[in-house]
Amino acid sequence: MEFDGWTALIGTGTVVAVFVVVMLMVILAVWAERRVAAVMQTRIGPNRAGPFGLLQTIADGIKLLMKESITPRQVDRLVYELAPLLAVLPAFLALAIVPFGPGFCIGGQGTDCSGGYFVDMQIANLNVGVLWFLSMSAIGVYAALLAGWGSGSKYPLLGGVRASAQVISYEAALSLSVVPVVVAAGTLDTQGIVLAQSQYRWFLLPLFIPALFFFVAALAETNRPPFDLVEAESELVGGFHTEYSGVRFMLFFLAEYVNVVTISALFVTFFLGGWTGPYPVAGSVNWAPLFGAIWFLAKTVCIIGIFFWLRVTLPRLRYDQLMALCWKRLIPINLVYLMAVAVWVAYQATGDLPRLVGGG
Amino acid sequence: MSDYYENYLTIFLFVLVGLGLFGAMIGVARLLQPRRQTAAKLATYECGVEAEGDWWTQQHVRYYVFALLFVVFDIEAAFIFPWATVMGSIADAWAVLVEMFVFIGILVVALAYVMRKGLLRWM
Amino acid sequence: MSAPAGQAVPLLLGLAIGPTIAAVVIGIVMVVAGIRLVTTDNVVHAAISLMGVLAGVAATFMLLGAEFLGWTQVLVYIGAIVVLFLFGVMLTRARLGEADLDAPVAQRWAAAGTAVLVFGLLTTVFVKVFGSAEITVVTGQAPREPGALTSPTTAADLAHDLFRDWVLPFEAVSLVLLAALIGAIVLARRDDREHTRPRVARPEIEVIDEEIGRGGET
Repeated sequence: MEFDGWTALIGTGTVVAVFVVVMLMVILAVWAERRVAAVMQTRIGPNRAGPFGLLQTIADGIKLLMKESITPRQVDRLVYELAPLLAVLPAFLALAIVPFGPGFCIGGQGTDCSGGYFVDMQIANLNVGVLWFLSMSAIGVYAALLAGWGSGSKYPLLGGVRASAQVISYEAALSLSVVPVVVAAGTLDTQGIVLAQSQYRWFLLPLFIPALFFFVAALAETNRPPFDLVEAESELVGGFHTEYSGVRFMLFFLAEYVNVVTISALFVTFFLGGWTGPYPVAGSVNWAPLFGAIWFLAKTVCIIGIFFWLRVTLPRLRYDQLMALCWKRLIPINLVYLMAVAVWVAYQATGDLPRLVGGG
Repeated sequence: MSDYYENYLTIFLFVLVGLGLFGAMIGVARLLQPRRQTAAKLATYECGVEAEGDWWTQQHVRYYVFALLFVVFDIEAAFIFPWATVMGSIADAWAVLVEMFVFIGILVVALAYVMRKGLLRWM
Repeated sequence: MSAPAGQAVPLLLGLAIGPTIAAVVIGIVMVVAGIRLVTTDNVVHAAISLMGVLAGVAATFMLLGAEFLGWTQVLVYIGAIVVLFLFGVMLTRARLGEADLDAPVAQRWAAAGTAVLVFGLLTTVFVKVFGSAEITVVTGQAPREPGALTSPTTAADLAHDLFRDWVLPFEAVSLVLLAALIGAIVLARRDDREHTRPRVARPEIEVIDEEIGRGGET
């Protein structure tokens, strides 16, 4: 494939499409969360702005944009301004490796799409997709740490340190629960992981424990209830973003919801077979990419729904319970499970049991 | 121009669009928002009452321990990932498996030791 | 998806234009970040600059096709080591950013000398060893010839090298990590019987009754 205007156009198109889809999902998610919570708590929820209150999020967004964004005198300007950027940007960037559907070919023929343009339904099909996702969530740690320090205020500092200790701990659990997936799929490339799960060989069943741990770690990574100690208002006022107002507060809020969408999309990619679905089988029909996207979005919405459900159901953990859960449960059990998966995969690959002497 | 660079060019574009979105939001807000600053507004909010004393407080050493643990497990992950990709396809899978088990085993012992010493206990 | 064989890459003075421009830009960013890193008085600003330098290193790796190495650099150094630095400075009693970081003049000269020496050494080594080597960044995941400078180097290539030829150093790494954890224990040791406080950084807010604090564990 030559690099020319068309390639650039396809690249730009993908980027814009992903941004539009994610922003729409975030806007709907914020509204849906409030409605779902309302139903579960027998309230009504937002129902004034637009039909069913659908425009509520947009109204809130406009309100926050028009609010005065105060920068307190005591802040460290550079650090204070950088923190919201480091919250929002990695949240979006992690989506770059999520395959929304199978790739398709425009204007070319054959399996290698000669003479045409092959469009991947993902921003970048990296060989090391999993590492990209982990790197982005690692950079996300700085949002809390820098916001807490840059604010020049007691509670944000405490909240920032707590938040970053929580996020790095669960980051370790998160990466260990992805490893069994990589072992099973034999690749770090997300499209490859999805293809390894085609024909309903979803990793959710054989890797149920890593999937569960991934989900728990994802809740903690995104600071969602029951792991929202960061903004435990009874202890820490607003947590690390206490000193932020107006648009900068909105950006932290946006980052939280983009993270929820991103991590749900990744859960679907790693454990629920990504874009594969009952109809049609990949590549057999020209509509495969469209259906792929529909299956993918449907699964993602279900996972986001579980996030909401847990929020209204579970009470908040205490900090010592939070850390103990991560280091005494998730990580050791994950390591043991990983070893078991590896033994199974090695047995499958070699078809025989280990020769104890001179294996190889 | 190979696919490899093309991927990263697209990612670069993604970063630029993300930065653009961030800048646009800050910019639009700057145009829309009122600016009436008073001394009270610019004071640190903290918890609503006037802030007392210094905002800087020394943090407990336990946070550092968790950061150190994280570094160790991050490095471990960096070694586990290449191993994970080849487990199903490498010729001498059992030998490679044993090598990694020794590696993970040492770390599990280390984690158990840390736990035994009470470092994972949040006082 | 693959480039037609023998397709010419646009060259300038014998260099591929795109990657060369990228390398120059990355270099400039790294130098600026590096200078800010050593000149700023504020530890947190220094950490942010350090992130810039490390990101530059990662970008250089990726530019040379060492994709896995590049992302590992981001994951381990930016994601973990700098966080560790920041947590480290949070332990100190001195207020961050206002610490007196002025080193004595002699120390500055020694640091500058070391920097020049390391720069000279690394440059000589790289030019001697890789001076005329060309790295071809090929498309897809073509199997790599052993020893050939063809990239991208995939995680599988690394694994084959690591688990076949470098087993012993690899196992040694786990011992190094074990040592780091033992270091952590020494740093924050709490002897249960004697109720000694952590050696480094006594907390300003102390746990008054440790028994109460411990009640909620497990």
